[in-house]
Amino acid sequence: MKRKQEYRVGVGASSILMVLVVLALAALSLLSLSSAKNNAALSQRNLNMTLAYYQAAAQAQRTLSMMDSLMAEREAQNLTAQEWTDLFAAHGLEAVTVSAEGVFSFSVDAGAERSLIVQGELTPQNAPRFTVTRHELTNQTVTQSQPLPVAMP
Amino acid sequence: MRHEKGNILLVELLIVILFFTLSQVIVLQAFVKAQQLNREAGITNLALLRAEDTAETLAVSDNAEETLASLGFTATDGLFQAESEDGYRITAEITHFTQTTGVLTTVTVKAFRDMTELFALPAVRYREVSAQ
Repeated sequence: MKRKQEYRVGVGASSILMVLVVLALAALSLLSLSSAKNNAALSQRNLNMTLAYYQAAAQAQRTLSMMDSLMAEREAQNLTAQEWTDLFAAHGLEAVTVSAEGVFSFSVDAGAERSLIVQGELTPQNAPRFTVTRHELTNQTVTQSQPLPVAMP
Repeated sequence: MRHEKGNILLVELLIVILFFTLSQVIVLQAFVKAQQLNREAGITNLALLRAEDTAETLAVSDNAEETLASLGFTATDGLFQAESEDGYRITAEITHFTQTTGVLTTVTVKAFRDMTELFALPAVRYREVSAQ
């Protein structure tokens, strides 16, 4: 007589399954926590960089207001570019330079190796006394002398 | 003898169940912490977007008070506030510094989660008197 073969699932199988489930959940939780921490760090970095930009922009506006005030005081005097630069420097605006063509420029540190560059035309005798032509956030480490060819025909 | 063996198996099972329960508690805590971190980061991002939007709109506006009102802020005792359903609150405080040549308007946009201040973003604009 042929004996019928029996297949029984023992206690060990369910224990192994349980161990695997626990391990899988532990791995998932660690991955989830790691991802959340990275997300929070990225969010914080984004916040810091944005705040640094707005603080730089605020500083640029304060500089422009001081420049305007100084120009209004001396609009009757016909100062040269160097004299304007010296005048601004004497009033705490050392970053402001005026070229012979009447173009002023200054930069404000915007954090994370970035600078906010402000450029414009200086017309002290006319209204408005200045016109901003450039308000650009640039990277201090990247110097680009020539534009990159993005698409070649 | 058989009864003793059964007891040992029961204790072993109890220890295993306790170990698994402990593991699950730790795993659950990790999941909760991850969810909390994600939620906080999400709120900060949304609040920052709203603050940036407010600052950029103010940068091209002539009247800060009117602009804030149009952006959904309500004024109480000179302080503008906006509540969000996403779990943050934004306040804006306006200060005008008037000089002979123009007006320097500073709007400090602050974001709060519950009672905690998340950030304070300055939105400054100088307008010449002749340009107003």
